[in-house]
This record gives sequence, structure tokens and C-alpha cells, in this order.
Amino acid sequence: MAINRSDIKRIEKLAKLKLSEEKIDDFSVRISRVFDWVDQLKEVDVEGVAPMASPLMDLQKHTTGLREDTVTDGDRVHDVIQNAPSSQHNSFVVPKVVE
Amino acid sequence: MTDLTRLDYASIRKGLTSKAFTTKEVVQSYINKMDSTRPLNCYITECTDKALKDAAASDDRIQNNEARPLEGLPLAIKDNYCTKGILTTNGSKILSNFIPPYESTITHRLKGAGAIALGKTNLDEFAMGSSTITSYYDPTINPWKKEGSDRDLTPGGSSGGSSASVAARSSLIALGSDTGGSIRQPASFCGVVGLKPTYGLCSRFGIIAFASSLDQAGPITRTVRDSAIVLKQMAGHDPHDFTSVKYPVPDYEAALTGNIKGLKVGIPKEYRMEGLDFEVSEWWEKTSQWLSEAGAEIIDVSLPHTRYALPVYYIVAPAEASSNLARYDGVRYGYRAEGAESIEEIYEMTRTQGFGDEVKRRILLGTYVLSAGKYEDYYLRAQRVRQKVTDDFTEVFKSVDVLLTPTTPTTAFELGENTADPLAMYMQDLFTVATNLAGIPGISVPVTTSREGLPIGMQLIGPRFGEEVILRTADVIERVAGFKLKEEF
Repeated sequence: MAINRSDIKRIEKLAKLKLSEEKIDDFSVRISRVFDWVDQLKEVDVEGVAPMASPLMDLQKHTTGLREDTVTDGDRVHDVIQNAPSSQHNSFVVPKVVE
Repeated sequence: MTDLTRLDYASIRKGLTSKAFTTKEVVQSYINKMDSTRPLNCYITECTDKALKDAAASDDRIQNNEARPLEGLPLAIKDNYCTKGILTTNGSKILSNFIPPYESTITHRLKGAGAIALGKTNLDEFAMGSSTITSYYDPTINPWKKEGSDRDLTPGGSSGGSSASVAARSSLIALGSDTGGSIRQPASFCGVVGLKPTYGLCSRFGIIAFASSLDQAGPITRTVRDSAIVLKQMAGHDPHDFTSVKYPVPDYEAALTGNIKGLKVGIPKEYRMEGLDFEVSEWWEKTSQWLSEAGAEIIDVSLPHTRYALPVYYIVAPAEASSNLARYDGVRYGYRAEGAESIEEIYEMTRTQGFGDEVKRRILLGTYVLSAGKYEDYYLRAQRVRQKVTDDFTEVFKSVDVLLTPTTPTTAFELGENTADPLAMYMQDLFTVATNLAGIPGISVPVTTSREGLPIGMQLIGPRFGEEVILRTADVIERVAGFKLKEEF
């Protein structure tokens, strides 16, 4: 299946990316190539087969279940904020959002 | 004095406890090797000062007879494991300044068991690739070269820095992560052992997520025994990872009995496919003969949906990645683009400047297959086929104990090869990716060098939590193969 320029423009918006015109052309060719190839999945009979989201779907009782609702971590504002590109008063700073 | 970087960990451990040498001497030998192999670009960040301090503390413990299970182990860590206070880039510009405020469970466990971190190794950006060339920090170079050639070869990827460092002896054991083959393929290209455990055996907490239903941590080592030793310390339930399984961790080293009499080894016919190198195919045959001579029964089997595994992967993995990578927005950590005037611009400019092309392509692919109108046709269909790929394995493991396949269709290729056509690079994962979809374990073990002088690896695949049987079988292959890294490494 071909992915054209307008498809790429639609999904780059959803993915919060902004590609150059050249890149849009290049990506539409490369991504189309991948889609042509994955289209072979259409030939598999999947009637009655449930989608498999995880290899552990049948093992859920062996993974972490519910626990007491108690605080196990916290008071680490400085740790959390130290990687922020911009911060003030223990908060992340971004340009004004509401007009 | 013998070069300490030539010993495996089993021997290092013996030498340390018998006080034949000290941890400081071991670590210093590795630091010297890191210096002399720096042109291979195995490491993004080196932590040698800290390593020497840790070595001194380790020697104190040994003096006090308090040695831990991995005491004095010189360890390299793939740079997608969060390490507290140590730069963790994931091979990306977008995390070029990220200092994690916490430690991944696996590195926490290994350090607690006595391992000494030498540094953080290079990888394809966000572990997306099979060559380490998509790293923002330049490619890693394979220490192996073709006979009579000085052209640089790829170590494979995405755990290319980890695999190359183990082969080049700039680390003894390295941590990798494997989403579609990222431990086994580079291990095969570099002539070392690479193990991808069962999904859920090792905690993913603190490993930067690529595709959460596929990612799994594993060791890269020079011997099967070393993989068994380190896996024991990695494995086990972690309350911080709700996909980690409460499974009793066996003594994997004890499983290396050398005895595979009566073992049923399946040879899946679908792996004899177009693109499989003739010599790799020959050694596949030869390896199965070795197993037969060791008392195993060789059985032809079929995994009819194998050919769909790779296309399934290229829908499921990008879909999960597009969701996981939404968090890189330039607000809380990592790179932020300069000059953005609105929050929307911060998101767009940061992500556009911060991610490389392969990562962007996969985000777009994933966003597309999850978008309205495509979700059913692509994402849900792929998940249904994933179940069929998994059912094939469940069925086949009713009649065999392990599967034997090549790890990769070819030996290592040149840097820059397979980049023009995305599918050519994706084909690298042809033999490894199905085990990630099914969540079952696989190990790559080197068997020989090709006529051109490059390592060839074979893969053993086991049923869920079948680490012991694949380690036991790999150990038998290793003993017969007698594979050696090059003297000059």
C-alpha cells in the first residue's frame, strides 16, 4: 500500500514532528516500501483469533498484582526537576498555554 | 603475569577468591583495554574513576571474606539502562543531557552482587537498528575484519557497543537488550554469546522502553557459563515491573551438565529460506550433527507462520514505540529546542531536532497503524497473526525440547551497507524476531569463522522459561566448536 505525501503530513501532525519537504518525499517512499511488504499479513486467516497484546496474557496471576495503597517513594522534587530544561519554584516551565 | 582480560568470569572469580590477583588489577587491565580499543567506539560514557574506587572496595570485601556472587566483574552497560547519576543517552540527541535520578533494577542487582560498571555502551538510537549506525554518537566498529581486508564492519545492533566490547575485551560481560534480535544478532557478528531470556524473567524497570511487549534484558558474554552465572543474578520478580513474573530462579550454572542424551532438537524447515548464506547453512547442518553425536535426537519440524513474524514485528514494534516515545517532549527532561515560542512548537521542534531519521520513520509508521481507520486492518490484525506465530511454537514444543537455527542469515556486513533500503536492514532480524513475539528465550553461540574469517553464530530457542535447556545445549555446542576470539583482540 502506498503512503503518499498527504498521509505523511497527517501523521507527522499526530506524532508532533515537522519534516522538511525533501524528507516527506523520502519517507513516503521508504514507508510505502515497508507497507507493501507488511500487506502480506492480509493473506493469513485470523478468523476467531484474539489479538495478542503481550506474551504474558495467560500468566497474569504470576505477575505483580494489587498492593496496599501506601506511599513507597516521594519527596524527591529536586531529583525529578534537575533534568528539566527549564524550571522555577519546583515546577517545569513552558510558554504560556492559555490565551 | 597473564593478561587478565583473557580470562572468563568463572576463572576471574576463582582467582579473586584464591587471591591470585586483585579486583583492582582486573579492573585496571580492562581500563587499559578500553584505552587501546577506543577507535572501535564501544562506549558512549566511560566511568573508569568510579570503577577503580569500586575495585578498591571490592578488594576490601574479598580480604574480609565477604565476596558476593559477581564480585569484581568488569561490566559494560548498554546505554539504554538508566544508571543513577550517570549520563544515559539511549544513543539519541534527545537524551544527550539526561542524568537519571534512579537506577534500573537489573544494574542495581548486578552492582549489588559485586559487578563493577566500566561504562555505558553505544547502540542504535532508541535500540532501533541492526548495525549501531543510527547512534547519534557515531557507529561502533566490529573488532573482526575480513581476512586480508582493513574495511570496517558493523558489530550488528542494536547492542553493538556491548557485543564489540566483549569481543574486543574492553569489558568482560555486557548488558544488552533485545526487542527483535538486538542481543543475539550483534553477539553472532562479534563471535560472542548473547542470551535473550523469556519475556518477564528479567525486570524492564529502568530500561528505556522501545516496544514494551517485546523488550527484554539479557547478557552478552564470551562463554555460555558466564551467561548462566550472570543470568542468575539478573532474573527474578520485581514489584516495579508489573510484567515481571514470579518464577523461581534456578541455578543456571548447574544446568550445564554437558549431557544432552535423548534431548529432542527441532530443525524448523521454514528457516531454510532465500537469503540464507551457503556457509551459514553448512554450519547449521554441522552443528546439528554435533548435537546428534552428543546423543540428541534431531527432528525436522515446521513453524508455518514464521514468514509472517517480521512483518508482524514491523507493525507491533513501531506502534508500541510511537506510544512510548510520546513522552519526549522537551518539557521534563532531555533536549529542548531553542527558539520555540509556544508549547506546540516546543514539542514539534524538540522532537524533529532530537530524533534521528530511523526513529522518526518508526514513530510515523506506528502512528499510522494506530490511527483511526487503520487500527483494525493493521495493528489488530498483526496482533492476531502474532498469536498464530506463538501458537506454532507452543505446538512444536510439545514434541521437541529446543530448536536449532542460525542466528543471522549472513555474517557481519560493512558499515553503511543495507542502509538504502529499509527492508534490507530489517531482514537481519529474520531468524530472531519470532521469539520476541512469542516471549520465549533464545541464545546465540559462536561455532566457527567463515572462509572470509568472520564469526558464524547458531541460535537455540527454548520454550517459555526454558533457559536451562538452551544454556545446556549451547554449552555442549561451545565445547565441541572450540571457537576462539582472535589472539590479537
